[in-house]
Amino acid sequence: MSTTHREALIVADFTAQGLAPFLSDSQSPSLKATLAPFDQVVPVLLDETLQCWASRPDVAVVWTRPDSAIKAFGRVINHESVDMDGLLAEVDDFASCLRAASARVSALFVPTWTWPAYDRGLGVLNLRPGVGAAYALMRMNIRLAEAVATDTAIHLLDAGRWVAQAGKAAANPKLWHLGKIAFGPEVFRQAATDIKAALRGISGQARKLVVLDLDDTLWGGVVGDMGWEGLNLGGHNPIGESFTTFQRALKRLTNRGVVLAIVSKNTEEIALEAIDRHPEMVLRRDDFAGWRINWQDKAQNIASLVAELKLGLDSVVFIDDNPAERARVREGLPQVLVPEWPLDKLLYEQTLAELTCFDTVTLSTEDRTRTRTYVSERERQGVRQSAQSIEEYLALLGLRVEVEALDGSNVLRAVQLLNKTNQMNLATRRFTEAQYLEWAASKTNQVLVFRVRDRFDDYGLTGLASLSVNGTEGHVSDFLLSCRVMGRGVEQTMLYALAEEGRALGLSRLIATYCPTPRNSPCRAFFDDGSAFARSDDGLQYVWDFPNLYVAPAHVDVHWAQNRIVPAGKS
Amino acid sequence: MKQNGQLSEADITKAVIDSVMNVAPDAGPIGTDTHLAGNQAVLDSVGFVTLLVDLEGRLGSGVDLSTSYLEQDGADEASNPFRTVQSLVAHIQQLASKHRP
Repeated sequence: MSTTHREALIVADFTAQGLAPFLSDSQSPSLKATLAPFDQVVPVLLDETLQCWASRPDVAVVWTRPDSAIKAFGRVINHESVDMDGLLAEVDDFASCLRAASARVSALFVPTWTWPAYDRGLGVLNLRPGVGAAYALMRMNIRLAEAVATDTAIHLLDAGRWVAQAGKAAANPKLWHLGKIAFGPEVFRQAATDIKAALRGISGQARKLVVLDLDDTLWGGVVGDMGWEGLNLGGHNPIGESFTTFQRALKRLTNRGVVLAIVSKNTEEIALEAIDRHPEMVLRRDDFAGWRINWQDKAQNIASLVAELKLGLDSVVFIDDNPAERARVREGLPQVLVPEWPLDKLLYEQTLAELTCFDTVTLSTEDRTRTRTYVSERERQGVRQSAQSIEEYLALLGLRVEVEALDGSNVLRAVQLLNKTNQMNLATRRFTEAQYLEWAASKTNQVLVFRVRDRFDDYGLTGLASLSVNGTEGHVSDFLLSCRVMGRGVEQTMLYALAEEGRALGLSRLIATYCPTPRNSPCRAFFDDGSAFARSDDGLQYVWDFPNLYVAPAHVDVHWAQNRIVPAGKS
Repeated sequence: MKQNGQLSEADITKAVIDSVMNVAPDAGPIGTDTHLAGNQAVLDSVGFVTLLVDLEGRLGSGVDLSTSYLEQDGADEASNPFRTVQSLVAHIQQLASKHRP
């Protein structure tokens, strides 16, 4: 996907240009919006030769009114008898039109269908199956969601939430009669916010780490003054209850792949005792990937912690009730997101829920267990400190790497890894799932993925390497590894696997071309010092000549998955 | 602040400017001499219509800008009460005064 200026095509059956200024505002990414011909939704979706597609927009927004897109719904709101199967068949047809257009863009956003809240319809019968408009609308939206679920370029957005947020200003019949405008500006603002959040998630910019203060952020009061027993947390008072609600909301974040950490000015022992012993604490020690609890500058502590967790500062959100601390971190670490935090503690959970920085378009098992991975790393560090040498430490890890070919069962996680890995990444190529599957299907391309585990943790699918064969040379098109498993011999194992593929294909050499970015110098350092590949004079290419044998690291147990057999259709 | 139950000129001016910024966040700095209609307008026709309805919501009942706008259709630019923020504020005050009990 392009990281330069992006264009969005708005396709609608109402006047939707009110969305354009919000798409082009300063919130990243800024999108230049163009409008498809008014109320020509289906022809625009089906005909790629139309002028509106000529500029090859990167993104499309297809926003329709339910009575316009689905004719049967128009009969529902007229209180006519409607066959639900026929109505849902129209939804399926509409979904087909969306799928026809989705290949032209990297992301196609479809707001769900809504109806003006001022219209009470049949009142108490509005949710009666086969009778009410509200019931029909729900079924239509669910059917649409199911019909487009397998197309990874189509993203359904909850327009009902935008309408609810806008309240009475969401829709006004005057706007419709004066200009065929279906929504007020607040709905367009909410829409643009969600579209941009989704695009940031698609391009791997979702924030992954929340760094939290403790006193008056996770609990009420100052633990160093009153001890853990005196903290206002839980119980039957609104403030204490709101802190536990906030902690539960933070814990929910960990189930979507966000990691929590602590940076607090406190005595570590006293603070950790509160976390371990307070009966109303929702978050315990093992819910945090790491902490810096001392009296040092918070910006420096955050930087140190982020480096320990092998993340980038642009992955971080910092939450602190103290405006001075927030200002200090904003000034010292501009890449860290520091949201304004309310004085009113009863609003903490809502403020967290309103953040748009965590949106991702996939949710995998690795996401859900990410915190466990960091806890395991703490245990691993304990082993490292007790080992007499690095070789002994690596041997004690019990590292196992399973090598698989890319297929339908692992492509979701593989593409997620491809799009968000920055440090150990040779070429930093970015793809949608459909694009990468198409690339991998070529007879000259091979993609291997690597699952890594040690005695402490199962890291899951954390490595990817691909070859593009040109004559007798194999070009390493992708070589990337999650920072969580860097530096333990997995990198060399991946090169060993590529070399085995190259030998099986009868190649004369492997060539890896390093494409520098601001973030991937660790990859260059690996190829320079750890790969054993020969470096070219310009320092950007690394070569392995056959028939030299590339040996896997002795401490790694390598397994080849069944699907690694050369797929049918490739010679 | 309301005076004798009516919005003051300052309140109306703030409502107009807030509404323009709500409808057109990319319009840049908005002042009393900002053009809302005509060749130098910061809004297109769709934005202008949205502004009127948004403003009606802020000012409450008794100020029917939409009907007033339709009645003005065809008026020359110089006398158009919707031409600038300042002229619109004056027009709103005039409309509001007609509805005072």
